Amino acid sequence: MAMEIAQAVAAAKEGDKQAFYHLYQQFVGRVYAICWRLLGNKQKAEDASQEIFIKVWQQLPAFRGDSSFGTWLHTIATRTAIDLWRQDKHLRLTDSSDEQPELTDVTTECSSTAAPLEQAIQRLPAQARAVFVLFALEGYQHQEVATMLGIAEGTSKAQYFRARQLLQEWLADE
Amino acid sequence: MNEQQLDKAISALAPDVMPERDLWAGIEPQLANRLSKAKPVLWHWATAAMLGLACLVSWQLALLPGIQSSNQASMPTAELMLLQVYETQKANQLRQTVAIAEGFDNWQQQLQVWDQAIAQVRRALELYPDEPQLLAQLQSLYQQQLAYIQRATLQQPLAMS
Repeated sequence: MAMEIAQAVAAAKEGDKQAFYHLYQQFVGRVYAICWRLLGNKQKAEDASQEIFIKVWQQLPAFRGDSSFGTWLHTIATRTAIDLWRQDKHLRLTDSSDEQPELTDVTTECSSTAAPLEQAIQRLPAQARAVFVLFALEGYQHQEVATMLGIAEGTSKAQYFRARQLLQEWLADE
Repeated sequence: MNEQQLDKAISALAPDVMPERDLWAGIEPQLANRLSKAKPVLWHWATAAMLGLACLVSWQLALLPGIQSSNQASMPTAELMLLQVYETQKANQLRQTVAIAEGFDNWQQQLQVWDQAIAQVRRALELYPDEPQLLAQLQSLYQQQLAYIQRATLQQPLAMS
């Protein structure tokens, strides 16, 4: 698989769109997951995913292979999704769990036990959700999360704690 | 749900979430432009090469003693003819320009590069009037410049008389 991806990357760098389509097929689920979990909206996640792949295509000639293509793409995807998250006033200003999230708009590959968690994550307030997704699911440290979201490190930790509490509470009710 | 159960549920989350629709249809049309952007890169190299040539000629001229400037009245006939023919053509092409083609945003800078190179060759011709190689170089530069204008601009058709 790694060899296949490396070949597709090399061909796509030369302008082979079919090879890039192969990369798209391999990574669209990963990219969309980041966007959907961060932005919490199907349309925004679709738009963001498209923007990310276009950006990847444009920046591909500069990809030197210092890291794996997947890691490189993941970095672009996360940064782009966060930029959109930060630009979205609605997300930043809404800090209430009263709003009903979109619960049935994605086909997840997660198990039946994970599906309630996936839905509960979408119920989280925007900032708590972003912190939870970046820290717990994407593996960033609180300092990195704080820098990316433009908040204090202490705020990141507090929001993560809050997110966990809410998730435990909601999942216990089910 | 306790902490351990939550951690277990988190680790069971799939890394992939598939979108409901195929997003490729919205991506592919946006990819078409990448290859066409190769042209400006080539032009950067051409520009650099042209500037290099101009600098080289300039440097060589600076080493020669007794450079005298001259005006058009003292210009050799062959050079004057080239100048008149190509400058007229260039003026006509620019006058008929109605729009700039996509990817040629810096066309004026490119023309200036050729103008600088042409000026350097003409300075050399002041030292070696009617020197065949310099005249050929001057003609070549003008032809390149005219061809570039042709590609970079969209021109109104000539009126039929």
